[in-house]
Amino acid sequence: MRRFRAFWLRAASSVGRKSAESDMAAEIESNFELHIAENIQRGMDPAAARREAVLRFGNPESVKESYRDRRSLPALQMLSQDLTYAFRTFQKSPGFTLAAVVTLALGIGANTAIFSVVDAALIRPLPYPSADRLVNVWATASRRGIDHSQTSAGDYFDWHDHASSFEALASHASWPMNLTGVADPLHLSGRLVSANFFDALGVAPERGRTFLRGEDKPGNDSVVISHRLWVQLGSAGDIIGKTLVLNGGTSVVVGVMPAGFHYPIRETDVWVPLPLDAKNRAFREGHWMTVFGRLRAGASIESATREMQVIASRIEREYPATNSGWSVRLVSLREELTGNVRPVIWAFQGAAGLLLLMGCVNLANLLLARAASRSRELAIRSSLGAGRGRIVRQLLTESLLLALGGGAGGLLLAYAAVKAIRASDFGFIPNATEVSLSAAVVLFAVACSLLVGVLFGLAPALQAARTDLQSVLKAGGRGTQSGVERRRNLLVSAEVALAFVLLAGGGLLVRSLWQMTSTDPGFRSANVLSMKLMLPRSQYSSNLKQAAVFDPLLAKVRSMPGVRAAGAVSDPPLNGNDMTFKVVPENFQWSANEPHPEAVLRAATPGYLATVDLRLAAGRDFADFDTAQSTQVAMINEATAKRYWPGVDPIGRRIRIVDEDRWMTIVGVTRNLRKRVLSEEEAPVLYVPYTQKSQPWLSWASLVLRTDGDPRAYLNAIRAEIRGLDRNLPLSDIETLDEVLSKATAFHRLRAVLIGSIAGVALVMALLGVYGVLSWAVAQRTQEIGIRLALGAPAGRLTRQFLGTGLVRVVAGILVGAAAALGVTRWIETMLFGVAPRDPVTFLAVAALLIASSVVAMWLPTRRALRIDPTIAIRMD
Amino acid sequence: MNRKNDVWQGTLALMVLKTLESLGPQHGYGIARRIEQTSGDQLAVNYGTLYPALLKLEQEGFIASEWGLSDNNRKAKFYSLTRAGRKQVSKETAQWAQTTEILARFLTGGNS
Repeated sequence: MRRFRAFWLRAASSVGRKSAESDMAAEIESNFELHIAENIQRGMDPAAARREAVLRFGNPESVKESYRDRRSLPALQMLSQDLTYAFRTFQKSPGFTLAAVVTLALGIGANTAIFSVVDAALIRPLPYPSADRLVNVWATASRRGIDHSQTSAGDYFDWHDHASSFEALASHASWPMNLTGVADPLHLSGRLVSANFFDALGVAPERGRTFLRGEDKPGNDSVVISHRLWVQLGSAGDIIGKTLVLNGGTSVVVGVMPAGFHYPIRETDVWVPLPLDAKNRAFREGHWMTVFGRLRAGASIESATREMQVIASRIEREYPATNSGWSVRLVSLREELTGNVRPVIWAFQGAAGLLLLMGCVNLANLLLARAASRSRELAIRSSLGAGRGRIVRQLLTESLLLALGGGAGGLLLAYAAVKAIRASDFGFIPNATEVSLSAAVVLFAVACSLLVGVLFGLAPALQAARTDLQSVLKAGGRGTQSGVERRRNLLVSAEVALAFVLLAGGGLLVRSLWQMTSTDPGFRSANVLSMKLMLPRSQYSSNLKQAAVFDPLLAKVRSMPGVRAAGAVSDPPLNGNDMTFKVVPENFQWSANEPHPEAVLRAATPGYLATVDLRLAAGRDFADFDTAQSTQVAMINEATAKRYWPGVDPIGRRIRIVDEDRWMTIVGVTRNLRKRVLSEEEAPVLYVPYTQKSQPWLSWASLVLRTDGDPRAYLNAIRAEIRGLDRNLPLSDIETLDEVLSKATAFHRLRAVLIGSIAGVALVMALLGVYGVLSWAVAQRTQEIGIRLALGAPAGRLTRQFLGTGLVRVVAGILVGAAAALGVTRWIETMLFGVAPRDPVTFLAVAALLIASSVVAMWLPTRRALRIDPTIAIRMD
Repeated sequence: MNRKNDVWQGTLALMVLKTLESLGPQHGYGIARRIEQTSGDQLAVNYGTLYPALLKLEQEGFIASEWGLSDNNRKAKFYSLTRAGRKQVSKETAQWAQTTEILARFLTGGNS
């Protein structure tokens, strides 16, 4: 405690010290006089008294020096000297200072911005209590290549009843809803949930309650709503107990979740207890439930997996017809949310890190050149008594100051980037809205700056301290060049190598993007608008009732001037919500250990294919004469045809859904669409007409129309039509297919653009490095060049010589970079499409680009040097 | 020539405190003289050590300083013991007594 007090007093007196200095002088003086006075008193004569006192006191300056050392902190004073000196140096070379700070600000800013995403998405805990104990339970069927399937109600309840590893094992399923009885009907994202859903998450409501045990049964009308929906409904204080009209029935609000709570997706606004009776609870056919649970304290994901697998194999033995081949897999919630993006985010961080490293190399390079030209100044300082450590310390103070300046600039840049990230809310960055400059992020930026300062400052500082005094002073500041040049050449090679890695990565991503955007998605998106219309099942319970809305609406839309074509489909292109059914293709044989034939089911109206320009490979589209009473028909895609009727014309063959005896005759074969990830072609698809489908619950459709001009211009007219048919029908998911397509490639575009621009900056940095080192080397040899020119050496040969030595460095860098890239690019393999991670074309192109551009960067200074008049060059010092 | 010993490392602070305790407020020169006299002129106080020691004690809050007039009407900086300083004297005195006692036992008991 006392020491601490003393330390602060010393630190404080290191700053202001004028009065302390005179105080000290006065005290010494007065004690000196006292001594003389006492000597005289003892009988000495004044001269002898003074002489004795002087001898006793010793050198007053050295007394003062030891007094000063105790009064303040010598280290602190040295620091303030170094700082003053550093600022003076910066003032003398503002260009260098600015270049250094900007380079570092860019590098540190990029790293900090990306780290803020890492922090929000990968480091910070998920917004649920003890979120590390939350796991998803997926059904798997390894023989069929399924590792991420929802499960059946029957399986879920068996798991729930028998698993002991969980505090709560809950389930949920998507349940789209229309909210009516309000001014503007809303289409909401709803969830059917088991009663223990909120218990498993461990989140309490903001108002009211969540669901009670046993509430998940038919006839229960409780719902819990999101904070957002509560605000949308007018933030009523007495919302609890109020009724909402959802999908045509009335529900009672029992709870409101707190703001910011979302599960399983951000959009979810309403949670409804699963309305399952005993029969549906035992149903094992359809896989439609997502299961997650909270592990008991102490239970590991591995032990829980083992237990669940035992339960699953027991169910498999008990119900072989439905469960043969099915097992389970547990995935932690964090892994689930971030597994896909984690490699991408780390790739960004890696690229930004490489960029910063290049910035460091560049600065080290500049500092080395400066240290060489400052060697005289430093030699004088050290001949005046500055120790080697003191000089290293002073130079490091300079580079650390530069780095901290860069860090401050970087934080500003990162602040802007964070704001942009939050505003853009990329769907693919988990927690994008939570991204912020948290304490961890700021700490990262500071640590980054310090590390960088040492990194680029240490080599030049050590270099300067190693300088041999005599030779420097004798050589007029040019004594140590061969060493500096060797080191600078090494740095250039390093820079070229780093640039190669970044350019190769960026090149591969850009090529993938290009491949992807030039892939035919199977449809034509221009001027097509898609919007989802959801008819409440309670009211529109049959195909006939649904047709009473769809048919007149389509007829009306088709008759609007400028509308080329219109149709409806249950899932429009790239929608991603595939409903897979087991099917029986007529006369198709499959062995017992093969999976049951399956196909994705889509309902469509006549004209849908033409509207999105999905071409027919054979046969015909549905037509108005395909009514409920006429021959049952279907269309398949080429994938279905190829899998189940290989080498045979499928037109006229029949197919049915398992457990139905309704055979459908195939009348058309469509081309394959691309999946939501454009890199994959879709699986077998079965199209059925809306008029004939055997799924009355399929009561929604996406209306698509192709127009001459902007299709959004028709939106109001269409809304009016719909209101005329039923005033309680909301439209949702209104998107042009252009937007859908652009969204499908957005992630690829973003990462190609980001890594691509990082690679671009890297290229510029590398070229600056090459240029800088060569022009410095040439400038140092101006005299030599002049002599050689004067002696008649041909300029061409000198040029070749300079370019040659420079090129050796560049090529060395390229070779090292290529070797490193060969190792590194496999980390981004999952982000590539249509390009191998070691694609030789990309690698060769990058090498060619680097060589060509560095030849230009080296030729410029060489040409300038050779133009010089030899008589001037020789006289230069 | 009879060479005087320098003050041992670490003991000067206690000597200063003890001096102030017995003499009351005193200036730097007076403290130095008193220590030298008490030691029977066996010790020589170096001012390059004394001033930093006084400063350290002041920074640690054991003594306080004030300008005043000396017996022969000269301006001088006087040091006096603070309350914390008084406590420190008795604490360090006890510690020192214990140390010397232990050391004495070692030195005398070594041969028997």
